[in-house]
Amino acid sequence: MITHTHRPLRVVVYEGDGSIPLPPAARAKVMAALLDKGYAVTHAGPGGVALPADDHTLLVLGCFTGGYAPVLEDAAGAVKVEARDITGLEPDGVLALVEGERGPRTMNQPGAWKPWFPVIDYDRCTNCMQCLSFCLFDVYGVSGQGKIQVQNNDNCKTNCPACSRVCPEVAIMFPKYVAGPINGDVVNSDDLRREKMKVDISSLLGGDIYSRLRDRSVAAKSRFSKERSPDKALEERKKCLVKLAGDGFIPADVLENLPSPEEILRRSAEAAERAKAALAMQ
Amino acid sequence: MTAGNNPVGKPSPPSRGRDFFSGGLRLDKEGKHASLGRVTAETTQTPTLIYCRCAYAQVLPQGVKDGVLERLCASGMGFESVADLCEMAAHRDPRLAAMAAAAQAGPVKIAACFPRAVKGLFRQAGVPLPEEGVEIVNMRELNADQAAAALLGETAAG
Repeated sequence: MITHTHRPLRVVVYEGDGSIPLPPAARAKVMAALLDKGYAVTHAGPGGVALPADDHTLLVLGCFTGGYAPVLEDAAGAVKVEARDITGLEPDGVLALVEGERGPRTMNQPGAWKPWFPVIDYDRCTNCMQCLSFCLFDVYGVSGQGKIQVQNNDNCKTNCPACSRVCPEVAIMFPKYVAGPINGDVVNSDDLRREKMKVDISSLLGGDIYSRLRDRSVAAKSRFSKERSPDKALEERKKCLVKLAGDGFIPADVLENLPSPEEILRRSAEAAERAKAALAMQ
Repeated sequence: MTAGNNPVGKPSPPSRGRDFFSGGLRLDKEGKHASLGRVTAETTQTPTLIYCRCAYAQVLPQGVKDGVLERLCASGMGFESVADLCEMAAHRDPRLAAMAAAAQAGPVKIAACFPRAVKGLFRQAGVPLPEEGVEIVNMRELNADQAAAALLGETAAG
């Protein structure tokens, strides 16, 4: 679940001419305090480069000579620039100052919210659409060019990487997941072998759609043909979800909040149609 | 309070008498006009350093990300730091586009997590990183010394 908020301030810790550099340890503490609250921070030291200003307020912090922050304007006239003197402030004090400058603009709070959504590795993805067919929450969609894509990452259920488990190519990553290769770690031959075995599990989920869409082996077609009944497909999907939950891949709260059986069937049918249409474009 | 004062209504500092540029922040002669960016020819081959704190999920080892930040700060180098690249990708944060553009203009080093994930985040946000010129330093696998050396080593040598 994604919570959209204002983009936070961009903070610049300035230590060039006209300011007294912070001791390195203090500099690290100030920056860590701000980052841990969700702010982007530029350290403008004597070397290195910075990204250009964007359309957000720039808050320049420094221990300015004489204890007075300069009155600044953006050279391009596009961005509001504020400067504040932080001489003598502890990291908590700097954080309070920045929070005050942010004012009522909302931010996602680290610790209270997690950016959780699938990331497709297009170097591996074969556009098979199994993820689209599997996900019950409409996270996936199809581009105008018939390519699978993450369209509604807001819909993704936090801590649920189940779709990555049904991807036969190990192409779905959740960067916040604890273990590889789902977290983006290099995919090795053992991972690939496990994924080949996984296809048998994932094939249970969509009943016969895979046989129609992918024209897999005769054995697979035979198995799918026995699962044409909606009731059977639903039952198998449930079994698979329970198995994935038992393996720790689906959080219990996600399982408990699944749509009704009728809704699952309806969504499955819709997803299958979209997958079929997309594959037909290839 | 001796610091953190609001400058409104207080006198500006005296003119600095020359342009100065520091880590991407440039102020003009009067010290009144600020701009950020890769503004001088000599900075075009200086890597833009980007540090991700992974603040929203804590999957990076605390000791590693703290250690890398400390070493970056101790280096005195200018650098960019973000709370969480995943959070930015989730929101299609336009700063990701600025990072990708910086990578088109010159070398970029990103201290974050697995390269496959980082590249995927940028691509999914619609601003793919270029194939060349971007080095991703994996703080999930390297220790703080290794990661900091990878970030700063070439810069220090160069």
